[in-house]
Amino acid sequence: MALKEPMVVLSDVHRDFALGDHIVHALRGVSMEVYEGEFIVVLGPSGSGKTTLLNQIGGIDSPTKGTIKVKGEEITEWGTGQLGDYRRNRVGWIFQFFNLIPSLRAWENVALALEFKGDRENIKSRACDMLKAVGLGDKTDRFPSQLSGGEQQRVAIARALVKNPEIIVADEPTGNLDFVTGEKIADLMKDLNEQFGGTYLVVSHDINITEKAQRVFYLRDGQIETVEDHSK
Amino acid sequence: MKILTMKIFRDIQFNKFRSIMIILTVFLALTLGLGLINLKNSAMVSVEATNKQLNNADLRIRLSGYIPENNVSLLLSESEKEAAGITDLEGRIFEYSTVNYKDKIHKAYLIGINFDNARINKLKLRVGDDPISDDQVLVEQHFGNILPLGAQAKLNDHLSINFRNSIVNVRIAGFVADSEYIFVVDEQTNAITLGELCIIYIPLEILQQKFNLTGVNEILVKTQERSNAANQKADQALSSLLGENRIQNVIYWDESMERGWLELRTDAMENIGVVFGIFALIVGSIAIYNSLSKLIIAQRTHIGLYGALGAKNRAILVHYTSSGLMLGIIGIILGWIGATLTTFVLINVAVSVFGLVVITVSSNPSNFVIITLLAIFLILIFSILATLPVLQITPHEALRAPYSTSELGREPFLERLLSPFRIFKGLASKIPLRSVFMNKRRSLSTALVVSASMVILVISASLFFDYIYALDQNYELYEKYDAKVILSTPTSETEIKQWIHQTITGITEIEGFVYTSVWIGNQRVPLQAFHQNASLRDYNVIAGEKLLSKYEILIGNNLANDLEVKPGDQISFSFNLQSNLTVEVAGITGEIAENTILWTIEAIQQSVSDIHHIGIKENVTAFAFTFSETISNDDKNQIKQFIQERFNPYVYLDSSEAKSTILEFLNMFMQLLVLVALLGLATLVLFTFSSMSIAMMEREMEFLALRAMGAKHRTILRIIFTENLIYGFFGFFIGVPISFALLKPTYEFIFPELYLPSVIPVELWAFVAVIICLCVFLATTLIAWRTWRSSLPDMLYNRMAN
Repeated sequence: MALKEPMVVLSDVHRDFALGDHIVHALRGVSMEVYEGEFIVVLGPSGSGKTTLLNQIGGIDSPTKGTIKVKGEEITEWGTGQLGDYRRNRVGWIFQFFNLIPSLRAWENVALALEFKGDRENIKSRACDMLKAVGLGDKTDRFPSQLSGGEQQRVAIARALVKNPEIIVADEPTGNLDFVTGEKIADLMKDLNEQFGGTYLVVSHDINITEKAQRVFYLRDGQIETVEDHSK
Repeated sequence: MKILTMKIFRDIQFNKFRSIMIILTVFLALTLGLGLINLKNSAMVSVEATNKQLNNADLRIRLSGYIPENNVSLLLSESEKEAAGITDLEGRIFEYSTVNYKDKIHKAYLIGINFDNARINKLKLRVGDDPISDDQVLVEQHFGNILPLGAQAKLNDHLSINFRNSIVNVRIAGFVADSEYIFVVDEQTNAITLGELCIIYIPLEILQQKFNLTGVNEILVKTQERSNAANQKADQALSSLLGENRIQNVIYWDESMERGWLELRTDAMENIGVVFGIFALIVGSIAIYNSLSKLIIAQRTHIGLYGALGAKNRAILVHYTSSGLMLGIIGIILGWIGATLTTFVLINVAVSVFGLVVITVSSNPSNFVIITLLAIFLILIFSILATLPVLQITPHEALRAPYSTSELGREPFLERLLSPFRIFKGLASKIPLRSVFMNKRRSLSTALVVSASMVILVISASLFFDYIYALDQNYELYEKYDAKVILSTPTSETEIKQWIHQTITGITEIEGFVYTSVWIGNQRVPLQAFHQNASLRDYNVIAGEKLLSKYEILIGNNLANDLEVKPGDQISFSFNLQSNLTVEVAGITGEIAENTILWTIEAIQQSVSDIHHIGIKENVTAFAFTFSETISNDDKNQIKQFIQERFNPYVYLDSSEAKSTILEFLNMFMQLLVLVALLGLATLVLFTFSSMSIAMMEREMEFLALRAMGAKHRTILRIIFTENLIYGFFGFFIGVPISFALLKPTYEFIFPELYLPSVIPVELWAFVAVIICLCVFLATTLIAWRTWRSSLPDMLYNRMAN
């Protein structure tokens, strides 16, 4: 049997930040492999480098040292423009604070991701379909301020998924929601992972999400301490 | 220090751009307003100091002939002087003449004084030396090249003085400042003649020898105190001594043409200061409102947290109001310094034109207090208005989720209107339209700042254009002649025409007219009367009708205001204080000649029974003519010389010269207006730019989210640019009608004596549009630069940490 090729490969990734006179080593030689269709959760105490790790994979930031390959392409060699293309076409981002555009309706927020991708065909119906898939089929015309926190996060998830990204990167997606809503969002993400595929990398402390992960990476002081494999 | 008080300082420090903008807006408002208001005080104090240093006469008595004594102080005994309140008397010669300088004839005053022993109206030597030989003279500084206007004569240049049919050649030994001639107002025409009128100072005895004169014909008087009452007392004493008949005219210091002009100009500058200062303060206050509103939106979570911690609403309200007030007060203090500097610059501009001897930057403390209190009041009110919404923020709501300022409703009309166009089909193009139209309160305050700033710019620039326009119109449409001659004795019009046709070529049209003065009560008022069918004179009637008949006259706008008459009213005047004529005011004119009664020769001849007394039954006292189009300047000078030799006129005024003299004066005044316009421009750019920038900065996270989604740089740039452009359009379309509406009352307030039609040229709109585009460009660049420069992970992280 042929070995499955990893989709994302991080090799000895370092990320340093200058904080006044000090250098903060947010990541200290992280190496990991992520396979296509996996649902991965990154756990760790505050300041352990979880978000920094996600930013490297999501194309928002570049490492100080080390390489990141996505489907064999070394994204660490890319400039701002190429990283923009990468985020636009291949990555779906979900933020803790949703970051919806307040002046756009729910469907428009979702469709905006398609517009940026340059994929304008049936843009509205596809956005509405995705909203239906996240359970907001009856609220497609609402503005963000007319939605609850959980609903806003659903819109953000729909926005991330509508362009069929290879990687979905979520930073504390339930961090700003109550327990029950968080559970619903976690279930939704897992369902969508199974329904639409896609590789999920999620930073979260939420037990609801951790339970659903195939693998859990524990990060401490910028290094991977342990990896738990739930799939076995 | 209380923690919340410390937070005010931290907020100021952490929001540098916002803080600097608030401080700058208040600073600019005070700099502009107080700076201009102080100018009047400073100018008056500087002039008074100059007068004091040069011992300016309180009273000038011009005699109809010469009195033989050089030393006029002997005319009165010490006790008589004491009784008349006179402290000093000095005699001098004052004569009207002409000079030829570089082949150009200039009107001249010959003044014979005792240089070494002059006590009253002393001269201040600016350049050169006192005359050391009989052919050397001193010349008033405006004629020289030491000030920017006029003839630009140099030291040692030759002048040919033409006086009493003899020509005397002299050289310029030095240029002097004379407190009597700050504006160089021509006493005969009441026109400003900066650099055109040549005032020549010759040692008294040399002048007497050169032109065979004995004694003096003018007495300068110093009184015990500088007041009209003291002047009248001294005037009466000298009149009874010299006899009324020997006195040609008496000029009181505070009624002199120079002082009139000074007060008029400084009043105008003060009024400009009041108008623009108040505008700028209002704009600054809205800018503060705008900025504080954004701060409160940005710190909504903080406010919720204060509430959650149990802070009283009042404490939160005071906290944010104090923030605005504190920045405003810093702006006010800096504004005091800016105002003083503005006054200093303006007074120096004035000095460079008028050549004042003493410069003083002085401010009236009450102006400081009033403006400061007004500024504090406005800042406080707008700060409170901006912070009032904190009372509606509940901890639960503020801490629950990110705050969206979008108001709910339908898509804006503009979006629906533009949606058929391909360029507006994209979702990204809807963001700016909705951000502006669905956040009405936020957008309104930004649009108001942009509009109000535009009002300042449009009014200041219009002032500049309209002043020039009024002048052009006057000489192109109304006073259509190229030159006019005011005769010293009434002459037959037929004789004038015959002589000119026989003697001079290059003149195409000639028309005689009457130029005289009439009495309205005790006030002497100029009267101008052309023929009924005159082709060289038309009238700009701004109220009533253009009827000129035996029973109807036209009257200048300013005179009409003074006399409080309107079309249809009756007015009585007389030519010789004995028989009154009553006529109807048919219309009011708006021209340069704003204090004149306009009538027709025919009406005068029919109406005035004792007309033969004043010599205009069959004669005219003036004539006007046009030159042929191909005439050279040399030929014009020759014609002037011929006419002067033949008619010995009182005044020969070339319209183009008159216009250029006024323009030269205007240039100087324009320098001040340009400075005001530049400050207006700076206000517009700064206020607009800061308001646009602050309006966009609160949405930085929105742009970062777009970036995280992979939005291209140009997409974000287009969103920011479009939104700023909409504010710019708002500013343009709200600001322009407001400017139009305010233009007339502003003109009337600033120049109550002048009729200024408001005709704004197309170029001004182009200029304003360019400035708006510049503001849009600046604000867009700043925000785009900030969005692009900022580190995406850092910003996202910081936002979460908040």
